[in-house]
Amino acid sequence: MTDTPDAGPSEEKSCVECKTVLSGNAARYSRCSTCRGARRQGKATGTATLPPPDDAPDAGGFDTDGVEPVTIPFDRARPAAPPHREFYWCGCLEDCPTHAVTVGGISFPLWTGEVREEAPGRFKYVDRTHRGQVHHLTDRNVALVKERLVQRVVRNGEIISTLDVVKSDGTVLRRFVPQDGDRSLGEFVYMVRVRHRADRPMADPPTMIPRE
Amino acid sequence: MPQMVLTGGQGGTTRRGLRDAFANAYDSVVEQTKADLAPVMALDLPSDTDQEFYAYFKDAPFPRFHPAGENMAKAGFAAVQFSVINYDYSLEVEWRRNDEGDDQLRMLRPRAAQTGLNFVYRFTDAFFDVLLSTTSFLPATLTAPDGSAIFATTDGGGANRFGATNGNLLTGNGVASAATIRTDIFAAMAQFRLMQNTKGKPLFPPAILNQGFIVYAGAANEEILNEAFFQNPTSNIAPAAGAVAAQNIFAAAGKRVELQLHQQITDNDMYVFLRGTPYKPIFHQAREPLSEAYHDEITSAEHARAKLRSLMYTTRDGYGLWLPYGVVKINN
Repeated sequence: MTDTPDAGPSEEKSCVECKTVLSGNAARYSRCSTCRGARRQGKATGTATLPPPDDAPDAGGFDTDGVEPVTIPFDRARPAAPPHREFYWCGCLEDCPTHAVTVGGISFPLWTGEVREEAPGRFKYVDRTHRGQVHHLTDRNVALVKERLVQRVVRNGEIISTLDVVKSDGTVLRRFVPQDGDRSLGEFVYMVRVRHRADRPMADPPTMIPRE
Repeated sequence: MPQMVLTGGQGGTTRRGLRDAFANAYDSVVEQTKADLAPVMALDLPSDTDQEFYAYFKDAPFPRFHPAGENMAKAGFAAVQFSVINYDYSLEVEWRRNDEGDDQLRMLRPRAAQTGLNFVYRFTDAFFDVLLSTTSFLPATLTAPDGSAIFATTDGGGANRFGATNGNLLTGNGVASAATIRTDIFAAMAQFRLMQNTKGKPLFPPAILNQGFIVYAGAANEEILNEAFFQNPTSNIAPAAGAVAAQNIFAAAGKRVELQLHQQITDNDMYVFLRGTPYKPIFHQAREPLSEAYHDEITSAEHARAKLRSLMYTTRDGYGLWLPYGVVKINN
């Protein structure tokens, strides 16, 4: 049963709910205008008993018979929580073979510059304004730096990997052989947890691996 | 008919030979060296003073919705200025006049040629100094005009460099297998697609991204890298039952990749250059071209007193690091 106009000729009849006589154009509907409005708003009419639930509205005004939302369990705490990050002041020393070491995807520059706004919309790059660079790193970032740092040594002014390069069939393509004078790259870089992005709290930060 | 032996002073066949040796060495390799570097380094930018000032505009503003009856939004251009200093790069090759006369093997000529060869490699030396942040040739390490080193995850202000997480410095998975190398190279290719301009729009259009990539890596990893990049297509060889024929996945994916292996790269890091980038990350400005001066007992009292002869070479160049969005480092 619907509230759309009947296709046939109009004739006198009564509302199926409140029994009000429907005449003229109103007779094209099975309910009076009051009951149709009440149905749309989910209200019961004043005088009539609600019809059986085959076309009764739900509390929100919609028919939910045969309707079922699809939901999945979701642990809001796990994916929504961002990884914990802290600021780390990272850099290398003057005697490091390269003046911008990268370890574990983190740069350890000797210097960083700064783009200063001299006038609205006009900027000027000023070189070597800060020692090192402050990064906002997760614990995983820091762990990877520690892991990768010990895999590199400084030999004759070059940074080389201590990892052997081995093919899938086991053939060693390049083998690292320690030599006298090899020094860990960790003796040339520093990483200091600091309070904010502009924090560079000491003049001589200790290297990640202490020098002998 | 008398022949021209030398210009600019007295001279003989030996001295003319030396001069020719230097000149030939330079001429024969300079064009090749430049050709090798051209896809990754801009060469011979003009310079006419001691320090060149450059400026780059941030991206032009993009259109915004204009409600009817209201004034249109206004936006201006912002520009960043930076500079590159020209320095002298010189070398004098000196030998004893007696040695030249006694040299029965004529070894001075190849030695002279080697000197000229070394001089032309200043482009290569400067390129690797900037790429690796070393100072074997340049007087100081260069930083990019956004404040950071050539490779960094953030710019000098702490924002994601070029609008992409990790900037132009990616964490690699090592070179233990060809598969991990390929994975990392594809990650670098994707990183170029993720970069944004200063207005948050894609930095590179597909036409540039499709022009291919050049991968610089250490010479010591030659075999494993070639295995990763240049597997022979074996589509004409029936694989074993259940197996998949090996193929070059880069070629299959339509990626044009050129591999450059160099001894200057001593670790397992890889550097992926975007061939079509409109501005190369590293550039050279030419203030004064290479010049030579020959001195001997005729032209120099000092040389005559010491019985020496020498050739002096000098040039005046500047080397700069532009915003390095055209290169991504894979840090292994």
